Amino acid sequence: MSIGQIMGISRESMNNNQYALTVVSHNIANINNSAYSKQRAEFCESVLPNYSSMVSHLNGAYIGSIVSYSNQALNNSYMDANTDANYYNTLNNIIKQMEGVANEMGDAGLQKTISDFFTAAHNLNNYPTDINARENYTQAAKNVLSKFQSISTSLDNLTENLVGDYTLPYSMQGSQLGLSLESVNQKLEQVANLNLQIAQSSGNASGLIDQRNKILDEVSSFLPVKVSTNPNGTASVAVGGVNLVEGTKVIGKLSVAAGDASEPAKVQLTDKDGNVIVDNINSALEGGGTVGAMLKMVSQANDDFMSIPAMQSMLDSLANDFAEAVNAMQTYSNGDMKACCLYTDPATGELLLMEATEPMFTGGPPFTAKSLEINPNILADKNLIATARVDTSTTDWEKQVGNSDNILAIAELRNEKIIKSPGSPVADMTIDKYITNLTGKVALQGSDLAGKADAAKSVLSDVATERASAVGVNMDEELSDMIKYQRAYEASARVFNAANEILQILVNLGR
Amino acid sequence: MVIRITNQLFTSNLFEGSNLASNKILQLRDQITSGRKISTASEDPLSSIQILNMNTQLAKLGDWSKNISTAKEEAKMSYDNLSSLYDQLQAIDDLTIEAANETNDKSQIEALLTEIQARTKTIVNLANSKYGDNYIFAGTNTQTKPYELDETTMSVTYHGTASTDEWRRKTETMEGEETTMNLLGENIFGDGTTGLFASLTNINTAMSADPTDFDSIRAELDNLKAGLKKVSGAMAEASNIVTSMNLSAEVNETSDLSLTESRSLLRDTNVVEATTELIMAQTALEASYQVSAAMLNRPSLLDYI
Repeated sequence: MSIGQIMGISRESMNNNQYALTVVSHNIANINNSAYSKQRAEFCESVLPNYSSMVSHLNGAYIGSIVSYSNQALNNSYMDANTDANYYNTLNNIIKQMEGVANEMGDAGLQKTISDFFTAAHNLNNYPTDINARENYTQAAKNVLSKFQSISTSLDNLTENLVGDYTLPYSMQGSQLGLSLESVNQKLEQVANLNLQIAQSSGNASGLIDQRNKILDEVSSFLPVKVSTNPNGTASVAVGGVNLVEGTKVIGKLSVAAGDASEPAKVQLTDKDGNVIVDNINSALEGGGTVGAMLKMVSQANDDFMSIPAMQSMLDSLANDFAEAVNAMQTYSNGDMKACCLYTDPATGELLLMEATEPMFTGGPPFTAKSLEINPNILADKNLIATARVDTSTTDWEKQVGNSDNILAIAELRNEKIIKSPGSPVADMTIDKYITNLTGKVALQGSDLAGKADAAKSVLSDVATERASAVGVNMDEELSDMIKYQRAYEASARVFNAANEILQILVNLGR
Repeated sequence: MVIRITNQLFTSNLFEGSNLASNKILQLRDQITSGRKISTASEDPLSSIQILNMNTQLAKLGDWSKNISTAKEEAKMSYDNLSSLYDQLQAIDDLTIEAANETNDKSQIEALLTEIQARTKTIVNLANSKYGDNYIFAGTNTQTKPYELDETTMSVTYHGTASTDEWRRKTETMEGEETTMNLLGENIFGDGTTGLFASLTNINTAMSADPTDFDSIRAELDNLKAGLKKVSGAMAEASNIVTSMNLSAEVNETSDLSLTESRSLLRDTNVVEATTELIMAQTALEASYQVSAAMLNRPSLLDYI
């Protein structure tokens, strides 16, 4: 063991502790960086392979590695929780918008509007020859149609905002789904670039890995991704068994394409030349993330799930059954007993009855919420509304203009089971019951999703806490490390000085 | 288990409590300003379904109330007109009894006839009464004057709905229950060939004859009595409609009040309760801010180096 060796060990020790202080400084600098994983200098004993002497193999210490606290298992847990939280949160937000469109708890919902229609029918029953009562009835019918159309259009707009219009494929790129997929593609490119840099890095790639993890966290909010790390430090990204990134290579891009009425949007995997690799990966995506939530909400469900098309379908069904029931009354005919409307005899100016042949509503059958319209002939002449129901075989039946049996029957449709519940072949619900049923389904699902969103958020918070606890920077730890390395540096300097003094003595021996 | 409290963890959790309290305050503020506990159905699905069911029932009660009111007003008007008509008819009966006395000379008979004719015209006018735009005793021929008087012969022709046809005008006053609003003229006064007006025509003919046909006058006295009975019967019927409508209105009003109260309990904000909760939430928010401030100023190793 020479004095030089002592000085060398001390010098190396000072270097090591200085380096360790650099790591502490780096940690403190990144203390507020949410993507940063704490690093620690790992000291290793340096030993020369020389066993001829008790001390000659002693060689001090070296920095074996800079260890990152990054934990892939925790990262994977976080990504899973993040996917779930965003999935339920998105579903919850969409269902809230669907509720807002219908607004049944407000003062102008569909139930209120239809109720006003029946009130107008009762009023017309009491004053069947009063033109104002007929005007009132027609206006109430128009309000019902407006409400149907408003809800239906709003649901269509919601779908268009989410995934675009499948009949206009180019509109889909600018939808939320299209933009989300574009964002995912950009992030996957960044992941591949970072993978390349990590693979090429000969030193500490912790910073690059942290950046990649942050990007993967963001991707997980869109898609239910699975990340696997490779021996060379790169990471592969897959979703539902479909590889998106393999090491330094992006396998393909995700894009939205036009589907059909039951599945308006499909997500495709295409190569960089635009060739389709996988035509439809929706089933792989419908498990989580905002993309999965959007796809679920715009697709026709096979179960009881209240998606936008399911709500639209129930609305169309209601519009159809309502219109058919009113039209059947408006043009009632059973032998000689017929529904009759008014007309003015041009010769005498007398108000008389005639058989009613004009339906109240046009645009079907089958009617939809959007197609339903008031018969323009009735709009032009309100006397065509069939208020009377008389036996046309009796003498002077035309004079029974005060008969209001037909409009009374229309008013009493409110109490009749004229609407078919979903899946039922026969009418088994009143209008009010059906609307309550529809509102109840949406509400129960909304409440359920709100609960799941809260639970998922809570899980995400717990996982984030666990991860932050495992990988984050603790000021007290860093400060104590700083003191530790500072003292070690001072001690090493002292040893160096002592060795130097010994050397001075040796040099001056024999003078 | 002791976990590492990192700076990230510390700051991210610092304001979680105050966020919760703030959200609660916002929610309570919305409830107080809107007056509604539930703004969307998903906030409380079961209560919302109950509220919607109550809305339906209340709307029906509203319609029935209006119908009851319409039926009652028309029945009252029918009663009032029939009452006036009864008085006129009673007077004619008295005059006819006087005219049946063979000691009357022609001039006396003529004087009596003039008054009977005047009162007959009044009766015809009352039989042609309108409620709004409708002739109330015309059945469903509501735009046709039911009784046409020929002032020369004092004969009356009926143009209303025949009693064998559907003359009733109905309205819904309860679930599945329809009330007839009108009384048919033909059932009360006859069609001009039989009944009260036929009798009055015969009296006019008998008193106009020269010499006066006292036998025919006397023969009509029983018919006049029958006519009076029919009119008083119709008055009773109109009165029954009014009474029945009053009872229905009472039942409706009770149901309405009860449902309105139940709905209010579910739907509307109890302002006193909500205000109390708001004050408590504000206190909790202030407390969480104080705790957060204390935690931000917590000591660390840096203070001791």
